[in-house]
Amino acid sequence: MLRQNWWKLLGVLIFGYVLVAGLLTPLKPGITDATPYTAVAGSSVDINVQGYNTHFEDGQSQVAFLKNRQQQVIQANSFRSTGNQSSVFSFDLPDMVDKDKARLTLVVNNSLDGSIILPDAITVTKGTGSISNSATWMPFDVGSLHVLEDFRFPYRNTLNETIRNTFFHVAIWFAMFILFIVGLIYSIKYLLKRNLRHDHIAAAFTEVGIIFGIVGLATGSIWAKYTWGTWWTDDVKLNMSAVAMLIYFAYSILRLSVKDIDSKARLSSAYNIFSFAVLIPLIFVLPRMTDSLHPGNGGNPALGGEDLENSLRVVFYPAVIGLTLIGVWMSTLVYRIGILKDQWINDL
Amino acid sequence: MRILPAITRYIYLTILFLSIPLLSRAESTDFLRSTGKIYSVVGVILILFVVIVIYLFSLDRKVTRIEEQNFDNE
Amino acid sequence: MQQIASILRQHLRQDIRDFTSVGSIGLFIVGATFISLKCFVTLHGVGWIALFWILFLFSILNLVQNAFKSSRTASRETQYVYFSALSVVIGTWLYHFLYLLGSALLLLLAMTVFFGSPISDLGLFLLNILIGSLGLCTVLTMTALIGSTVTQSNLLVSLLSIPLALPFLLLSVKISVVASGLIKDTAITTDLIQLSGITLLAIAIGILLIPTLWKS
Repeated sequence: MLRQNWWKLLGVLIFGYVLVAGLLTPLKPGITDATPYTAVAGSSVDINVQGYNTHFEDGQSQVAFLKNRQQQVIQANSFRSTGNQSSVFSFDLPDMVDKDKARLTLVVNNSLDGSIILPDAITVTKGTGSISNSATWMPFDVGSLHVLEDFRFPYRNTLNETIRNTFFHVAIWFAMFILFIVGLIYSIKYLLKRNLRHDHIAAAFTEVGIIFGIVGLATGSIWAKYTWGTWWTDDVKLNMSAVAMLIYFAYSILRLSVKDIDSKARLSSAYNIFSFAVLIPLIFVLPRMTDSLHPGNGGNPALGGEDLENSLRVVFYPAVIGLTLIGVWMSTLVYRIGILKDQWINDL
Repeated sequence: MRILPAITRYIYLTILFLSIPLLSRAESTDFLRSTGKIYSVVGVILILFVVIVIYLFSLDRKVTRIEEQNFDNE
Repeated sequence: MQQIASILRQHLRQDIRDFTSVGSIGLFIVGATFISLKCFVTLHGVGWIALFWILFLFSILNLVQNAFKSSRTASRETQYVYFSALSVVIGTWLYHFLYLLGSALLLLLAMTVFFGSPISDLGLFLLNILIGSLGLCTVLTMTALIGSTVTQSNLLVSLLSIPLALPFLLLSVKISVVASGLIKDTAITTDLIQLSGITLLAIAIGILLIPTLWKS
């Protein structure tokens, strides 16, 4: 029994690994907020930093820098931590000579957290106050800093812990596409060979794909509610997924409304192929060509080329494989039920 | 007439998953946002789990029905 | 080619003999526009464009549902004997295309009369209508063909075609908004290329699928 069903067990085990690794791995420390957002050059400023997963108090040999675009830094001359999550860093800002405005990146480093970076934390404008010309820009010496070597997921502002949704929400969309593509292949096979079994396979994979799509929409909705504040927004990726789901709903209703087994198989296979041809540009071209609020787009965090960090890949790819295997398992069940039903109708 | 059960099934599922966040929201608006929004991840996993389980139950029921029909035939 | 022309002629002659379908679509367009005038009072910009495409979609849905029914043109058996599947479908497809263009122009006229027109770039808008109608009529002809063998197909055809029409509508609405001058978009040619791309793809796949769908 195990010889035939090893892949089902494999799917469940992989998904178990994804659950454990995806939920138990902590996030890297990050900075949620740093106030004030603006300061005047040539004055001193106290930056109030709110951290996440940070050790401002417990971490040893803590230093903080403001870094400019030329890789030069000024070091904080003192800091005062009130707990591990919050600290105040005091900087003396040097005079600006060449520019009107500069965006500075905040870097905090200690023995427990490594380097915590908040890009464009503060905007410095040219000013008159000249309290200390002793403060000057220095070259950034990376060698002396602590490095965090644990296996951790990246911290992204606004995403926070929901970066873990990559393994569930994004993975289930990927699994859904794999199932739909398998269904499409079997639809084509049916039209070429006219073997009813192929049609049953196509129908089963598409049905499970629809279930996965519903899960994808629902999970996306929840995430959107607590990140964007709405269940649904007018966004390319969301619209395209909704259209895709509508098309597949229509497919399953077409299957239900045709009584004759042969013409049902013929019509639904043709509809599946035709609708997939209309869908391809939607899914693969449009979202890449339009701006989107959805993570994984342009400079936005989460999935997408350079944005998917290695620590996420280690869990994300198994998640896709595991969910696909579970989907295939469910599809085989649906397929067997379909075959049984056909046999039962023939027996009558 | 066979269209109806399928439609109701989808509507049923839709209402079900929409109601989960609504119920948890009723307790406290900020519950899902607390500790870095980890509970919205938990909600996502819950939905995934609940939908798959419900779907498995419906498959189970289908198989039972077919078994009964075969039994009646014999 | 002759067969295609013959099918097209059959469709048109049927419409001249029996004015019901032409008249009902015309009446639908004018009536719906007038009702919208009563409801919205004034309408410009995106609202106008949205109303235009929605009315367009629903006016043509009526048209296609009976396209492959035997009451139109020659009976199915006769068609099966005398014409090839490809020419019947392409003939009907051309007929639909003419109809879509006609109703789009009538709708444009009606809405311009009742609401005024926000379209500043009429050439772009007409080009958009042309390509959009081509895509929509491909989708509608295919779904009508699928629905033709099913009893009680009216509901089914609209159910199958609306999701498939959505991609075309989304792109067409986007181009229309640019044509009305509400948004300046320099990438309008890519949008047009995308729209024609999906249309060509749909036509190609449709032609491949016709033989399997026609047999019954």
